[in-house]
Amino acid sequence: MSNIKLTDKMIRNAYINWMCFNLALYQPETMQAPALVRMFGLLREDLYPGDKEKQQELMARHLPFFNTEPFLGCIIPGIILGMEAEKATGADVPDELITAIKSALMGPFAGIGDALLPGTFIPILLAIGCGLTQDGSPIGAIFYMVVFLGVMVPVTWFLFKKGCELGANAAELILGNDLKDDIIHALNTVGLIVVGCIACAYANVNIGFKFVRDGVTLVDLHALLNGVWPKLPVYLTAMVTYWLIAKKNWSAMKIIMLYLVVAIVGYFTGFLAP
Amino acid sequence: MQISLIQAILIALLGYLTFIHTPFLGGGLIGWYCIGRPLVSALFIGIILGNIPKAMELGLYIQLIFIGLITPGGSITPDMNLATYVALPLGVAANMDSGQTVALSLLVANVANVMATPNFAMTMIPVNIQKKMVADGKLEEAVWVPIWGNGVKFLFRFIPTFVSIYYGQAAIEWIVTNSPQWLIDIMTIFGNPMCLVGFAILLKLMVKKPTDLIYFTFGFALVGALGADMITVLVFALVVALIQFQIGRAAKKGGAF
Repeated sequence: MSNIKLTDKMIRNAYINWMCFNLALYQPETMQAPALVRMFGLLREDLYPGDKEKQQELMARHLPFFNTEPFLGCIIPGIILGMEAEKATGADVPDELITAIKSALMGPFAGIGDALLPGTFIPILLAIGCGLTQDGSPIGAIFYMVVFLGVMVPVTWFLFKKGCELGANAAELILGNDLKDDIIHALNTVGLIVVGCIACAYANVNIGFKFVRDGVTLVDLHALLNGVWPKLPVYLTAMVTYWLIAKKNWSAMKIIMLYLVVAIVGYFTGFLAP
Repeated sequence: MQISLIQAILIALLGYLTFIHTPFLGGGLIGWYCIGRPLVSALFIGIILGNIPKAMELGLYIQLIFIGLITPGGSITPDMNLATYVALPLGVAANMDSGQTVALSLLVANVANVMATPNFAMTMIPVNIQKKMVADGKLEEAVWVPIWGNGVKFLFRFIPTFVSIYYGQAAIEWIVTNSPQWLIDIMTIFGNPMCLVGFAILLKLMVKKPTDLIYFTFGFALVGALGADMITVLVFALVVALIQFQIGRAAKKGGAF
């Protein structure tokens, strides 16, 4: 078992299976681990030809918990595949190192992956797509499909392949390099600005409260607040929602229930308008 | 119009295929994050029902509620998948307006959450079988578990979607013709700020220090006060990020930039 080399075919096989199956058996206990077991199971004969005991150890190593943002975070299964291939050639790659690298990378990639993909890239594309969808035209949907897949398939393939090639070195490069902090910080800023933009463009809070005397509107609270700063009610709602979720640890469900109660009370008191 | 049996089956199947946990349509990248977005689903539902313009019109409004949907590991968020694949076909069939469709999709999105926990609990069965297979050395069998094990997710997607659209259409037509205006108004008020929930979850991840909220406010003001479009905001955001990046590099090199 000395001359094991990762071929393009093996890498492609692992990539496709990771991309398809990462959440197939998702549950709160081991999360994405069953997909890793499948990915390595499919390559077990390539990595350890005929050695059933080693194959079993290989798959058992990946049974415990694994969770990250699976698409931009696909570099992690790539890195682990690179390390496992190195281990299969007889190099000294302790099991603990593989586990440690998985654990060290999955948190950061979960955070940055969620922030970049569903948090920034997808809302931007959808906002453009929604803008293109006038009078029932399907052009916005087609635009979204073409651009999203045209960008994401090459990007994820590149990340996965780079991870394989560099193996543990990639982990060192990512964790030990201060460049990553600056990149993540900068991308985080792009995300925050875009989220602010989309929140303003697509969320609405209409205040219906008016103080009317003798048929003359003396105070129109909605116009007043929006005159102070455009969309101030939406901004305040966003801040309260953020505060409850981030500082008070409310769940999304609890917030939605609060929105419902506020909507009902707001409607019947006339404070909120559709 | 009436949704036929074949149409209901096709729509429910597509709903399952574009669910976040379904591997068979190219996984999350092609399924959940691409065809599964309400805007894109609308095109396919429109093709199945033979009414693309109406489906796109309603799909646009469902998309706007869920534009900021983030599903971070394990947390239970509004069920966009079921909302889209139930409310959109019913909306097209009953010729509902956007307000009624949004109300129905919000109702479905939140009611459907009761399925999340049993879904996770039942998924533990194939996961434990896979563990046992690896321990017993049945390696080939263990590789196949994620394929048949996904049948659990199929049960929790296909059946509720199919039942709701095929057997629900009569009920929905009745509700649509008889639903009082106050109910529609309340649902509209309820749905208006809904995308802020997803964004708040995201902000929790992204805001490292309180001053980071200024960037959010900056993006908000560009649109609210200056009326900037999406691309313009993106350009501004990239400029700010680039400057911040260069300052960060310069500070680490210890020199002026």
